[in-house]
Amino acid sequence: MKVLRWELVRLRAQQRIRAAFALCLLGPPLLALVLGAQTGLPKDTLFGRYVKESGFALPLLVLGFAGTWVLPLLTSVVAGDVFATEDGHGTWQSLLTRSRTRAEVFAGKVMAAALTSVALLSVTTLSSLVAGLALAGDRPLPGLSGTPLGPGRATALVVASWASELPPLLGFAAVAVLLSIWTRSSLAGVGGPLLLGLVMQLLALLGTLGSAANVLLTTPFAAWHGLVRADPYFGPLWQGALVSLAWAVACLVPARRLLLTRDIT
Amino acid sequence: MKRMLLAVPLLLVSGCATPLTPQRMAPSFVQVFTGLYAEQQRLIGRDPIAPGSLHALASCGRTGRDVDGPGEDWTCSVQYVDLATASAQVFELQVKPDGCWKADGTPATQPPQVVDPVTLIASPNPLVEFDGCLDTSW
Repeated sequence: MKVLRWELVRLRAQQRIRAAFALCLLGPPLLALVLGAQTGLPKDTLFGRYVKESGFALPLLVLGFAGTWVLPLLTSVVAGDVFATEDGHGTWQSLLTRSRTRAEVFAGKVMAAALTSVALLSVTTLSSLVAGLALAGDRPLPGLSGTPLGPGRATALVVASWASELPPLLGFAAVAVLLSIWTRSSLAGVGGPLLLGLVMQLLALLGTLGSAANVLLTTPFAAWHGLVRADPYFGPLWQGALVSLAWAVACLVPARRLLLTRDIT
Repeated sequence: MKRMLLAVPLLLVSGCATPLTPQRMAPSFVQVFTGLYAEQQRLIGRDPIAPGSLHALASCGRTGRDVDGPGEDWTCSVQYVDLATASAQVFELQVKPDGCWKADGTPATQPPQVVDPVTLIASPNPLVEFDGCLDTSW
């Protein structure tokens, strides 16, 4: 617990973490301003055509874009660095002379990274919802089933959709943690997960994978498509959570072993 | 060991058929079409109609060489009954690998705007272009 608290204090002091939070907080309102000023609509992204009809469309537009590109980047910026930074500054020795075991340090740092991801996600959710409502008001949202969703229902679905990004996001954080410990390099810890995400996106875009694309860690980012409708389906959601969990375990277990058995002198 | 590791992705690629088949596209399309058709009729001042009362049926397929999977050459033709008249329309669809699709109406049948003949209020036509998604999970 103490490790977690210190790690959070340390993260809060970092310029780039502050920049990440600023991006999450200010990005959606800026997008709303730009969309409000122009006549065209971003019709190629889901819900882009409704951003001026209903305030609930903007958070989902942002989700479709941020979910696949921005959020993994922001998560890796935190999670890919928490371990490698000790290598970078040569501070492992002094850290481990404290009365905390390596297992406690590992748990504390992983939890700090996870909590920061949750915080980034929550900030973006609120910010985009408020920006959307300011842009277009709380008129009903045309759902993906072709039927309008009332304001109360739409609000709940927007929040649920954003929450559904959490499992794959934590999966990416686990990949970043593994790379961070393994390579001892912040660059690999931050860039590696991003590259992996890019490769998975491209594989999925090729379309030759068929339903095998369901094992990719990027597929659960789209699980919310099943929610924003009058008759939601939850298959992708459960499956995405399981796939993300599998990725997280497959990365965290070797990462922990690597740290516990590493010769740090 | 290395050979086994290579075999796993190959097995996955070859062993998993695409969920984007004409049989699954048709109901997904019908649902969104009927929902938005009801919305369109509301915008031109008609009393509410239930999407189910249209008895809509669609058949979807690809015009190219492939019969299923993602692509930009999908079409769906839909037949429905409204005001005791049977009608049919054809839409062109782009189907993306993530299971979401975008339908385009032909300008002849779907103008960009619809007008309420009584109030003369013009609204964007919901059937000009619309999106839907289908479940691609196992």
